[in-house]
Amino acid sequence: MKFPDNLTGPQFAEGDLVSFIFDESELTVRAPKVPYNTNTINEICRERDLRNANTTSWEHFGTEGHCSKELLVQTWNYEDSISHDDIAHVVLKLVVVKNSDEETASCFSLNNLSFRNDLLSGLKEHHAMSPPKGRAYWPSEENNYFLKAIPRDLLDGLQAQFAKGGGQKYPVPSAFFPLGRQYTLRISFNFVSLHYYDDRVNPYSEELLQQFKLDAFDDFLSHIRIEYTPETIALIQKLKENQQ
Amino acid sequence: MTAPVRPQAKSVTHDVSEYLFFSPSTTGLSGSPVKIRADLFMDFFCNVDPQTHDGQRVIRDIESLKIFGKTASHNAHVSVPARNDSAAHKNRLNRINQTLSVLSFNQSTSPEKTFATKNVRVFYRVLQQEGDAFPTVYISDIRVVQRGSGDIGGLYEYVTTKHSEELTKTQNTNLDGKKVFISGASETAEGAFYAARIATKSETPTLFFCPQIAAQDLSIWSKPRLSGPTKELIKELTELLQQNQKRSVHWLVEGVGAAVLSCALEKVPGTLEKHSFKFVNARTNVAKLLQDLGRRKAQLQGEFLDYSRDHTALLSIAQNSSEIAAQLKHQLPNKTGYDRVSHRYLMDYFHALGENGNAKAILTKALSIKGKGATFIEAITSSHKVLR
Repeated sequence: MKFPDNLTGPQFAEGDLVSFIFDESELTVRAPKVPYNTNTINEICRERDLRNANTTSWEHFGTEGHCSKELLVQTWNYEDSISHDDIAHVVLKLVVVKNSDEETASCFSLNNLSFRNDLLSGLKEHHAMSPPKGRAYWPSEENNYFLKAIPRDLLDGLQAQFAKGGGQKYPVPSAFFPLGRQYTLRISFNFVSLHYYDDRVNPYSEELLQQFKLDAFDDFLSHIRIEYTPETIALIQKLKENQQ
Repeated sequence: MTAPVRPQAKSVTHDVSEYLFFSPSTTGLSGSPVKIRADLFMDFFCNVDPQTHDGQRVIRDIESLKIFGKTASHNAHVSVPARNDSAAHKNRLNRINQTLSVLSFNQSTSPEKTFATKNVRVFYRVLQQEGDAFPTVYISDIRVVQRGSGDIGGLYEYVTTKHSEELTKTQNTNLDGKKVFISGASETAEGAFYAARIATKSETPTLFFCPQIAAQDLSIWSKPRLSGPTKELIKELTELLQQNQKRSVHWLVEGVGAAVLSCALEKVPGTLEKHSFKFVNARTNVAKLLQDLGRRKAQLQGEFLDYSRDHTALLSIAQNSSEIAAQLKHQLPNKTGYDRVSHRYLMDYFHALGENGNAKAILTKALSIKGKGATFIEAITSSHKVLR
């Protein structure tokens, strides 16, 4: 990926390939090589084989039996190659969410339309309290939280944006991929511009950085591979045929 | 009780004996020599780690100052018609030119210049002092400048749903029965929350987020200079402590969070009997903090002080070891049951940390690195290695 102006930072294309195996799929991502600093977070889940996973130690939430586990958390800064000033800070997080038994039985995640509807209704339910207040770039019910498909051969992923709740000026892009009936991959790319507490001004406009944020996230998503088991592929195709 | 003091007060000086070469590549073999004030050792040691990406960037950028020494030179040169070609005349002319060159630099002719790289602002002059063969870059001061994302400091609560995780700045100030993590300085609330999860071993701790500016304002080596956001942060924590004074709250405090707490405690009258505190890598005057908490009858149970290889925290402990030991021994209430064992363990542990030969050696080194033959960065690097 070509970075704008003098920005430098980790290239996803040069990242380490990391795979996680689930009951119905294998997920492969490119984990960027992040420079070491004392406050750097560079955590990749050591448990790579999550088939028949014991979820008791996962984070449980809600009343429907959902739980989640972090697969990858990384932080890094984008710098200016000339001044070496830090320009933006990123927290990249990949989380696997276990669907409820009811959702698993419904196979909602193996169909593009039902997967989309589920996400959209969830966003409407939980992010209605964050109005755009005249900001065209702010995700809301009116613009469907900028929901868009990430086209893939068998099942599409979905990309959306929403507020993270920290009073940030800009929303956080997120992506969702089905990993079979049981699990969903959730990715968030929290990108914020940095400002020194002296007379240094961040030389990059917010418009440029926000566009770069979306481009960099697209670049990260383009390196994600999900391979489903033959049984799951057969089930996806069967559901497709039934729909037609 | 006195605040930790840096080995020597900083002031701009041109006393050549106060300076040493910055690094092996800035001794003048290529480019101008770059020298730095020896008493900047502690500032540099605590804020620039040569083992990190950012630390290397800072060091390389300072080394690049060697280019400026030459370009900053003036064309102070006496030109006379070459009517007298004798060697003696040439020698006299050369001496005059040499003296003129030195004079023109020292009159400066050479105003203080500054540049910033990463978290460090460097103040330097280009001078040719007595004994300098060439114009030399003299670094007279460095100041640490942090940066942040704009995330507001204060109390956050975490909410997770199937589709998102939200870290929300909360207005719910009732902390009854909660475990609250006061973070060390962090760029974002999300990064601080990640640290909170690890430190509290809880998936959903309550976070009191301290942005980087708090670390800049509350450095343990200098007198606090509070900016607006840091004042607000201290005010919010003060109010939280006051509003929850009669409730049971468990506080886990990391790094500079301890300095924020220390400032907040000054404005909280009465006792905090139902509040328990644990500290990790407290970057503040620990002895004073313990005294304040002891006075407010706060619960300091078990191994309430911990350290996990944070250099700044260790040096602070080493510099105040006797005061901390005195607080642990005399000021805190008598322990009962197993707490007696952990209290004794804690005293031994902090006594050992305080007396840590390496940390003491580094504090001593800060006072005496001049004239050892090593360059400034060599001394910094070897000191970092010693503490690893």
